[in-house]
Amino acid sequence: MLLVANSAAVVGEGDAAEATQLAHLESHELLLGDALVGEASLQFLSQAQGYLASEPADCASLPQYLEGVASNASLSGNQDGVDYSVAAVGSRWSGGAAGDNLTTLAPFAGADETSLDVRVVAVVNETAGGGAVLWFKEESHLLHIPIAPESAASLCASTLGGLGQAFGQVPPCNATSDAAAFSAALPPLVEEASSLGFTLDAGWSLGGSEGCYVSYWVTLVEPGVEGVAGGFDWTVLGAGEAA
Amino acid sequence: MDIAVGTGYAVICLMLVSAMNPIGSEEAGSQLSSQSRLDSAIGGYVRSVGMVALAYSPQEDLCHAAAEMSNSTLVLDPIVDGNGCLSAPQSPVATSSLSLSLPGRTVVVEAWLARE
Repeated sequence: MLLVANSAAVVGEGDAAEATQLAHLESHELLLGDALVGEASLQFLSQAQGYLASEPADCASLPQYLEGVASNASLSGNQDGVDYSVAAVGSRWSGGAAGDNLTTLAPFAGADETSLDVRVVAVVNETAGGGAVLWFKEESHLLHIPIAPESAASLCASTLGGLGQAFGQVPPCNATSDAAAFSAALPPLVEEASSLGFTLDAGWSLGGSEGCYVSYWVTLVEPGVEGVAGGFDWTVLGAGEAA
Repeated sequence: MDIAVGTGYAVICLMLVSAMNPIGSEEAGSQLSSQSRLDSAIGGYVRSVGMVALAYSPQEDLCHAAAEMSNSTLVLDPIVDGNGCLSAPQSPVATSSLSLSLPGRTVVVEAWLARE
């Protein structure tokens, strides 16, 4: 944090009222600076939630999808004689669990290994009193969005792998056998998904001119994730083929 | 912490003012003390309630929290998109406010110091 004030010149002129006003501006700049970091961080989390709620993930590209939460947030204006701007850059954080002191963002402050962790770097600039008080700070904060990416990756592997294995064990080009294999394979996969907080829907169809390969798909949903803007469902899609 | 440092700095500035220009310093000191107290109260309210609640909770919840942190002389009022919980006092000793641009709405936290 950098705070530069030109109070001495004011004192030299003996203008008590002006010095008092300057001192108040300094106090208010500090209050505003802390609030701006919180506002920008909340804006980033809100944008990230919008992305996660509206864009389903794909099992085949889950890491890239998670990197897609990266975004910028910025605010600027004037409050009580203080000109301010804040620019925040948020991105995925893979550095492991760690606490954070941005308590105004509770309960989303800190990195949590079971969630999607993000890092926000906020740069705040403020000026007041016609440039008599300049204020700058750069802060980095770790936050989390309580979806479960590792569980999703694990379920992608187990459900697509399980269905692929089931279809691979029956004779090709036989819809009756494929249907029986699917029906037998699905219940334990649904149960596994449920144990990790997801719902699982799946389907299959015969493909090719001879109907000799099976296309199958899964939809994993983590329902009611409690984000900053309320509950949302996070969806992960997967698909595979068996000859 | 930052607010405490800033307030401390402000007080030092004021002491310099007092030493060099005693005329009017008592009034200036009182004014600065009031403003710092209001800023501190606003900061405490924001930290206590949190940005998430300020952005998304029903206003009555914010009003309730503000009432709990107010007393007979210091009054906090969260104004959501122009609608406050209270009517402003007629002649407060000092006022301060913090405007928050939050997703979906603007919240202005006002603080007043009423005459005892």
